[in-house]
Amino acid sequence: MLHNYLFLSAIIFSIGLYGVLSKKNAITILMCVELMLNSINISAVAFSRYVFNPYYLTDGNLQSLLTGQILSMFVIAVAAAEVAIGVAILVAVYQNRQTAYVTDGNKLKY
Amino acid sequence: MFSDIELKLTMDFIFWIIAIPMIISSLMVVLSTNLFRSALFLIFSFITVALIFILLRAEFLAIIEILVYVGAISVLIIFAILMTKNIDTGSPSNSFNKSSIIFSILIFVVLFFVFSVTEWNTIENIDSTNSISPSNLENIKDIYSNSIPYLAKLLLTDFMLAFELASVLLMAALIGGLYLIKGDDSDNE
Repeated sequence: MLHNYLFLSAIIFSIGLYGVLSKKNAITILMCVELMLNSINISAVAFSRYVFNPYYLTDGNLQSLLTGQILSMFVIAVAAAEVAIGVAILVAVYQNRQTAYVTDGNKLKY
Repeated sequence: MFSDIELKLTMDFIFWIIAIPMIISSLMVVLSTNLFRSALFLIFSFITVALIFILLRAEFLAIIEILVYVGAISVLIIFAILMTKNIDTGSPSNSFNKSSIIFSILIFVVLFFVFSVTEWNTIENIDSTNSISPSNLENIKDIYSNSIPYLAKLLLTDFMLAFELASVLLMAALIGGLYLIKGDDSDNE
């Protein structure tokens, strides 16, 4: 069962990677970054559900099994901040240059 | 009601019912020529991720996913699409199109290889060797079926610093976003 989730995560990650590398529009790049972060979330939660470290038994600290879910919560928080800043930068650039393509933003002084 | 094998097959079946639309909609996010449509496909893929979380018994994360991604992030992205006018010209590829296809397929093959070859230390493997005592097994089942109190305890003990830093990060993002949008008011006055 673990393998299914990991393969799904790998597929979504490579789709997002292709979008980030090959697209011109900054909004599409933001959306593909979201796809990649989501695939990371899936694999982190799947690890926390299926992978077991025997050290937890001797330690007696069994709630550490849920660490993957905590990691994925922080990823969600960082993704929210990232999208807010990304959209703000995009709107600011669009107000100045009337373009949303990252390939047009190659001048430091406009 | 179900035997063990039947339960496993049912779980596999439900997993693929969720996973195949997810893969298709993620592909459509990249391949669709209309930006607005690709945002809608992105929302659909967020919902399927939430369903996958429910299947993994992380119900709290599924709720967070719906609230944050479907509720907030997709609204921001649609807002950005409507702010910039070239919706119908879509999202053309830059000059790295072919090499990025090759690179992402390469990354996928490497990930596939690593995931298949590694011997994962799964709970089922350890359970079959009977090294977990029954009381510990009960505790593990309780942690997975009733995870929210344990998550809260972890978040406020082991991950206290990261929790506070996340709040500082969100505050900084709020102020930074406001500052970027504000523009140059001082020149106009």
